[in-house]
Amino acid sequence: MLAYLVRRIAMMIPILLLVSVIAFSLIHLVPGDPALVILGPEAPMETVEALREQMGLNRPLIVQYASWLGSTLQGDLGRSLVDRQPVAKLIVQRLPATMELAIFTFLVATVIAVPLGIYTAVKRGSVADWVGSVAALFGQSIPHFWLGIMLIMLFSLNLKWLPSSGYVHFWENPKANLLAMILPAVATGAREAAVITRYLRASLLEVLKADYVRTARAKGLGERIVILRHAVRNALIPVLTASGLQIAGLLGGLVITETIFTIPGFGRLIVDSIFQRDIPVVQGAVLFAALMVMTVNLLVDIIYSLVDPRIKLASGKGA
Amino acid sequence: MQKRRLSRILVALSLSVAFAVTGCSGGSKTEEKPADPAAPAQQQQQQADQPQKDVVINIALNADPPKLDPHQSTALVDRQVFQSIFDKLVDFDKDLKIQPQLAEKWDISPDGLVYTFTLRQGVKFHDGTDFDAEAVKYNFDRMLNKDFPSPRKSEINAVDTVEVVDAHTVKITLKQPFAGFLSILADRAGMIVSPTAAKAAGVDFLNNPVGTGPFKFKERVKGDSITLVRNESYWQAGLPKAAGIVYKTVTDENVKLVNLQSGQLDIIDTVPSRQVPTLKTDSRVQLAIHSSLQYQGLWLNTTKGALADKKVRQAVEAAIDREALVKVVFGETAVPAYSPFAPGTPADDGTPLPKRDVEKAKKLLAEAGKADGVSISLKVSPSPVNQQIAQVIQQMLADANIKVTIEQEEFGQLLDKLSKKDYDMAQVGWSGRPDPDGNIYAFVVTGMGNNYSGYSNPKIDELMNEARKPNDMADRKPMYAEAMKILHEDVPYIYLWFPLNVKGLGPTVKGFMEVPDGMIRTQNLTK
Repeated sequence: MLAYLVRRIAMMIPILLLVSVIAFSLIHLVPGDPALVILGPEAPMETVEALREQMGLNRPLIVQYASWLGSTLQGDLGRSLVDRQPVAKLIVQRLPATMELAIFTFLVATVIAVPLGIYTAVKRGSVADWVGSVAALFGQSIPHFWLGIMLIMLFSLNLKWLPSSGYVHFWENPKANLLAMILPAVATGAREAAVITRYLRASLLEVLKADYVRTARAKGLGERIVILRHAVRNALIPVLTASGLQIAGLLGGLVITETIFTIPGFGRLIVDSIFQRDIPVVQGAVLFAALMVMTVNLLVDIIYSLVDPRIKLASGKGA
Repeated sequence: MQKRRLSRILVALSLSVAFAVTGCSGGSKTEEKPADPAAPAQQQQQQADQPQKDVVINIALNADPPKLDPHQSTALVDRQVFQSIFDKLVDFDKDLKIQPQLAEKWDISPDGLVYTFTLRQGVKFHDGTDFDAEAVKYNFDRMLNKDFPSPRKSEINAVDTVEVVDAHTVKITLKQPFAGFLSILADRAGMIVSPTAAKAAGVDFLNNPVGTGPFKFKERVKGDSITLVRNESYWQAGLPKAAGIVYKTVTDENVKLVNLQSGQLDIIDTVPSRQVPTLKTDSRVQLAIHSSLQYQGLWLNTTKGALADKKVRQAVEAAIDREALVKVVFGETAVPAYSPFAPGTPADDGTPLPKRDVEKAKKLLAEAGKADGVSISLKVSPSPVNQQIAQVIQQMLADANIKVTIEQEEFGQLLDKLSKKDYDMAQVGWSGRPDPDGNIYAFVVTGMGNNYSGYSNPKIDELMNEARKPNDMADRKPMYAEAMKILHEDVPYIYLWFPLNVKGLGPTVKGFMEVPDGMIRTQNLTK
């Protein structure tokens, strides 16, 4: 297990390097002079040129990359070109809100999806299955910005039960934090729930046909035990894979929810920085996002072995 | 298995890049939603009563202010926050008349070269140091310092010397007369930063701003919010009224509006024009619609392509119906434009709008040898409103056999292409300045940074430079009028509409002042 972890973590290094090269190339391929974007249309040309020089943008690309890589390896992600704040600080500032939103989204999704997935699989072909599947399809199809706005209209404007924005950190004001998290978590959770429901239903249907389920039933176990203890546990493997990908996507991909509910999250940091051509922030944030995605994937692989004892984390050849 | 993991990572990453590319634009800097000349009397100029200890005013801004140092600031949105943190030497009232602020009074020599300011006494910076003549001199030195990246340099390059006469008197001598000088000092170049704090922080002052204004900087979360608290020792007795101001960056207009309606926000800096009619009867919102200094229109590339021919440019202008455009897209949140000088501002000469004339447009094209029509592209930055404007123009020009292809370019790319003159026609406007010079000079004079059309006309250069000299607007106005005649003939830019300021306030917000520069003065705000 330990050897496996070490190997997996060592493998992250070349991937991170590759990601940094890709991120660096992409941001330089996007047209738009960072100096001009930062200074805006109101700046005289000589100021723009001076800023280019000051930001080191006149150096060859390979030199710019090497210099960035050098300081990153020493733990310095650099400073924002726009407002000179340290990139590491910006990432740390933005991370809690996104992590919290991702966790709540996943909670909402699980609470909806697990019972719904099991129920629709067990009652396959019934009206309930049909209603559940349509609901899941609907949840997967509606854009979450639309759902977000609808939730605000209903719960903030008409019923006045929940705030439409106003994120504060949990440790500053836990109640306000949780209240502000409900609508965004539901808006994104609905979609994740739909995806997980569909995976769980399909996977469970497959498992329910398996021999050992028939055996379990044949030896007289109650249907509840057969399903919950034998079938669901086995059906969870593909669901976990899907959920892992979903969570990984959420960490960088909540930008629309963050925009609608004005949550200071990680997704908005990346998007805003791309629009501002704030190269060090984009690079630092993308690198960090890659790190998070890989970590989540690793965690999912570890959870596999906990859920299904048949899966052993091999330290030798690829599993 | 390994391969699959790698591809998972790549998929997740490319997704995060993809949403970034297709995602919503962070609000283009010069594009503001417009409104109605007969502004309803929303504002209630409140008399000084007890400051309210617990009231925090939440103000939404359409973009994140990048640099909180007036001398390094490049984005317009920065200026909203500066209104709270910094005082200026002078300020505008709601009629754009210059009023005392940190300077109590001033005297201008008859030749327009020497400005002597008498400074207010007993004013302290937020760090406890004194505001005096030395501080003013330091501020000018800072802006003019060659090694300090200040975009203000070009605004005050007429300044020759700044002398401290005594502790509370400063004498500024100009190299040549510059009629717009005082109005420059009512903006970022006239904002006075604490010399002690600025020296200590260097360029990083932009994250630790210290001024003399009604509110002190507390903290910021990049891209999200800027929090200010009351300056307890503000020089204006009884002000500010609120205990704090929070500026929130909200890029989506509809999100802004619902948060105003739900009470999470108290003031929003723009209101979607489509919503204005219904909001008039919405008890959760007060609308403040008043004139602005902005203009919007089309840049025409005079250096290459079909539009290098003056007749083709004239044909484009003749085919556009400004009134219809404004009516369709903006309703009552904009008025048609035929110059860069907003209605009611000093240089506005009231030249009537030209009527749309499709036959004239066709005739002009024929004279240019393009009787069969021309094809040109129109670049706009992506937003639903810009898309709508482009489509209306496309249809109008189609009637005159001018085929327009609409190209959406993200704002940064659009600016890049404009400055490289890599376009035919582009929709980019200007945020406006109180002095007419700030709305025309850099846009039409040969070789200037904002002259995106590549236009050059010695007569215009001469008129623009002459119009900078006299102090009396009556002497300057005829020169601007003459320049406009030439520009209407040469058409490097087609002025289309003046957006109005449309701000939304919560139902109980008081003390809002409607100033055409669009800046929200915060010292009187309460709720």
